[in-house]
Amino acid sequence: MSDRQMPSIFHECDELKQVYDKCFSEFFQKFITPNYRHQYAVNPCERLHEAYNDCVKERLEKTKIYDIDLDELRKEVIGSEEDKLKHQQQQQHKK
Amino acid sequence: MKEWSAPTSGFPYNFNEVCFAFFNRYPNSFAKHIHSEDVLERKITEDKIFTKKLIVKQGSSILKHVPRWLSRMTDIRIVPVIEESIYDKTTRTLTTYTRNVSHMELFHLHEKVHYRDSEHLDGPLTEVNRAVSLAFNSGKMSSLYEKITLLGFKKSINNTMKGFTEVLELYFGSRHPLHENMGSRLKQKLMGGPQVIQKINCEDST
Repeated sequence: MSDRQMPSIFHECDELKQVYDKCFSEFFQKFITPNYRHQYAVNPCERLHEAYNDCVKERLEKTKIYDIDLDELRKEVIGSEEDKLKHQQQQQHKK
Repeated sequence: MKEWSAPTSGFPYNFNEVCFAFFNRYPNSFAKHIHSEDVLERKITEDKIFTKKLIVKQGSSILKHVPRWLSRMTDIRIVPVIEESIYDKTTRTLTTYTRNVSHMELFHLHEKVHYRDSEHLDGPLTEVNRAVSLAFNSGKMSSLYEKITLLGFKKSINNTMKGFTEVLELYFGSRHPLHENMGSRLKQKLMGGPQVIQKINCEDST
């Protein structure tokens, strides 16, 4: 099971990604236990994520790979004005 | 522009199992078209986890049959998408929103999926509601592209569900939703999905 791994968009970042993914996966299993109380300011995998993310973001900006619109990456669309399926969520909640 | 909601379907697993599988659903043998996956953002609060992933997919194979001189659509081989998700521990829901982040002058394809804990006496069940919005900006061809893409999307749900089930079985063992001792409500719910997909297959072959 441990060898189930998705590559990063940049192979140079694969190792950093794997270390982070493993950390988050372990954290998530703790987070979902009913008695676990998460302290807002503590994110155990944050540093690993930063290192991994720097690797990816730096290259995204440099290479302009696949014509990705970088402004789009920064947006948070879910539940916002740009959410084209906003009413869907409301309907689903009503059910 | 087209909008479509899939009939409610579900997994015979509890909500947290489904969420764990969701975060780890690639690679699987039904998602060979997924090239890479990266977590660009992750915010954790007391009861929520917000995640933003960049996923790079192979584009729809349907549009490559369109003659090149007719449309730039044929150039779309790789489709990078952003998947935002909110896991909510309190409401026991997971909402995901996926959108394309390239070729936006040509088309948009947005998908929202809502996973909801629906556990009851008959056993664990997580309900899945899926909706899609799509539009092309290719003049007179737009409506045709929208139709073809929506048809392809509907067919792809079958694979999405199979891939998801493969991951669930890998981590949590296989469950047979239609087992005779399962209640009729569960049966009824889970039968909804496959029936509809069969119908689409029929339409497609004509």
